[in-house]
Amino acid sequence: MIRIFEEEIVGLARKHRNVVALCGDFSTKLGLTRFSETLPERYFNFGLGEENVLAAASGFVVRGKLPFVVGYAGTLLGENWKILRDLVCYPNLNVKIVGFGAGLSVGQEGVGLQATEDLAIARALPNMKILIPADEAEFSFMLREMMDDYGPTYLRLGDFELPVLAQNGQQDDADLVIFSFGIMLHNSYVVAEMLRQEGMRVRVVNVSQLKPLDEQLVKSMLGGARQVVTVEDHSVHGGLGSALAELVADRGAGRLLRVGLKDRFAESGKTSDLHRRYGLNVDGIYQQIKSFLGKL
Amino acid sequence: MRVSDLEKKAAQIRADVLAAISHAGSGYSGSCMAVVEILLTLYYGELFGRRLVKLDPMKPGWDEQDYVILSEYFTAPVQYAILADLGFFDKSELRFLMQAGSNLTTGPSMKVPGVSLTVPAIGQGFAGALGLALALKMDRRSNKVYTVLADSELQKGRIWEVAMAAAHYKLDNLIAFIDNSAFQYDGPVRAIMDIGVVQAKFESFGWKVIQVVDGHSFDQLLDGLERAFTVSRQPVCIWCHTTKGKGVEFAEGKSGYHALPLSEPELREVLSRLNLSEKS
Repeated sequence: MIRIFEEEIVGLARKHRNVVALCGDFSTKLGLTRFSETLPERYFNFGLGEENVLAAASGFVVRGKLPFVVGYAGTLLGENWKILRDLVCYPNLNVKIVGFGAGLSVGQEGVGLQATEDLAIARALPNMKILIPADEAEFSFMLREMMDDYGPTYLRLGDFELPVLAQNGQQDDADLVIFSFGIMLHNSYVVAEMLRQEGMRVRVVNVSQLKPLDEQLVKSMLGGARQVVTVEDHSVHGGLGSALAELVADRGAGRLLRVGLKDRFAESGKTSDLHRRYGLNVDGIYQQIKSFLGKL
Repeated sequence: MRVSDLEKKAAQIRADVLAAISHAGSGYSGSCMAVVEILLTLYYGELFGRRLVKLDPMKPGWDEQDYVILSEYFTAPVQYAILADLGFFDKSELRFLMQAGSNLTTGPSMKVPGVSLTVPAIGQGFAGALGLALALKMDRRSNKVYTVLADSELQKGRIWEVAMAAAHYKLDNLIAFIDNSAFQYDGPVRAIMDIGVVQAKFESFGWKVIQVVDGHSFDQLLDGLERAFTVSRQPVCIWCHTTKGKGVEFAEGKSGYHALPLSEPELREVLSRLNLSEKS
C-alpha cells in the first residue's frame, strides 16, 4: 500500500496543482519520500506536533489548496479528533486523510500505533467519508475517484501488501452473508469457500465505503439471508458490525455475528500472530461462524 | 480613520455587541469588550495611508484580502458587528446572533461573508491561521494573517506546537495578538494555571514580541503594528494588556462577566453611558 501511495500521490499532485501534503514525522515511512523530494514546496512536515497537521489543513483550504494529511490512523484521528470534528467535519472541508496502520497491521509497533477504534470515532462524525481498499487496484481507483469527490475523507490503509482479489462467485440466494473490508476481506473469502465446501450458500460483500454506507446496496446484498456476519480488524463496537446492526435492526429480520476485537486492546506482536490470537485469522473467523450457526 | 473617530466607532461597536449578546441571552460580554480596540485597529486603522486589513465587502473571499482569524472564538460577536458595519451583511442580522437557524454562530462561521475560517472551539483558530499563512508563503503572496488569542489559550499545548511551527517556517506574514486580560472563567489566569511571562515564552519559541501596554489605546496598537511590519523571517506576537469588560464600568476587570451576557437593566445603563440607544 505504501509503495502504491508513494507513486500515486506524486502523480495526483502533478495533475492537480493545488494538492499539498501535510504530515507529522514518519513521512519517509508512510510514502511521502518521493513527494518531499520532487515537490518540496508543497510538502509540510510538522514533526511530532501532530495536531497541527489537521488544523493547519483547514487554513490551507481557505487558499484553495487540497490537503492530503498523512500519518498513522490511530494518532491522526484519535489525537486530533476534536480538531477533525470542529475544523474539518463541521465546516465540511475538502481534506483527504490517509491513515496507515489500520487494524493490527502495525503489530509490533504496539498498541499505541494500532488503529482499532478509528472507525468508531470516524463514523460518529457527520460529513465524514470512510474508504477502505481491499487491494492495490481498489486503492489506486479510490485515490483518483477521491479527487472528483468533495468532503472530509478518511482512507484507511495498512502497510501490508494486499494481493489483487479474484472475483468471488456471487451466490444468487445466500443463507449467510459476510460483510468485510480490507485485509479481513481476504480472510472472509477463504472462510466463505470453506463453508461452501460444507454445502452452505454464502455471499461475501466488500464494504469498501463504510461511510456513507450504501444502505440500498447492503439491503440487496442481504437479500433473504437470515444469518449475517461482519468481519473487521476493529472493535466490535462502532465499526462495520455496528453499521450492519443498525441496518439489520431496521430491517427487523436476521441474526448478526460481529467478528472483530471484542472491546479490548490487542498487544505488541506480529500481525499474523495478533490475528490468530484475537480470532481474526481464517481459522478464527471460521470457528466463530460455525459456533454462531450451531446456535440455530 | 483618525483616533477620535476610532474611539467613537468603539463605543458604537460595544453597544452593538452588548445588545446582540444580551438579546441572544448568551455570550462572553467581558471578553468581547476586551478585544474591541484590537479588532477596530485591524479593520479600520490605517498605516502608511492604507487600511491595515485589506478587504472588500463586495468581494468576500477576495484573493487579495488580508485575514483576521479569531482563535478566541467567543469574541466572534465583535467581528460580526464590525463586518456588518463594513457592509458585508445587514446589521439587522445581529439580532439573530446565536439563535437556531442563524449563520451568526457562537464562533466564527465561514458561512458569514467576511469570515474566512470556521472556529468552533478554543485553541483552534491559531492553528488554522498557521495553515493559511503557510499556504500564502507557498504561493509567495503578500497577504497578511492576523489572529487573536486569549491569554488563557496559552494554557493549551496545541498553541505551542503552532508557535514552534510558525517560527520554523519563518512566517513573517503571521501576526498574533494576545488579548491578555489576565482572567478566565474560573478566575485570574495566574491563579488557575500561570502562563508565565508571555514575552519570554514567545521569544524563546523564535517569535518577535511587541508589547502593547494599553491594549485599548489606538495609538499604542497602531504603533505596535507599525513595528510589527519591520520584522522579517519571524512571526510576530503583539502582546496586549487588556481589561476584561472594558467600557462597561461595573464589569471592568472582573472574571464574572467573562462568559455572561448583560442583563436588561445592565444593558440599558451601559448603552446610556455609551450615549447610544439600542438599535433594533
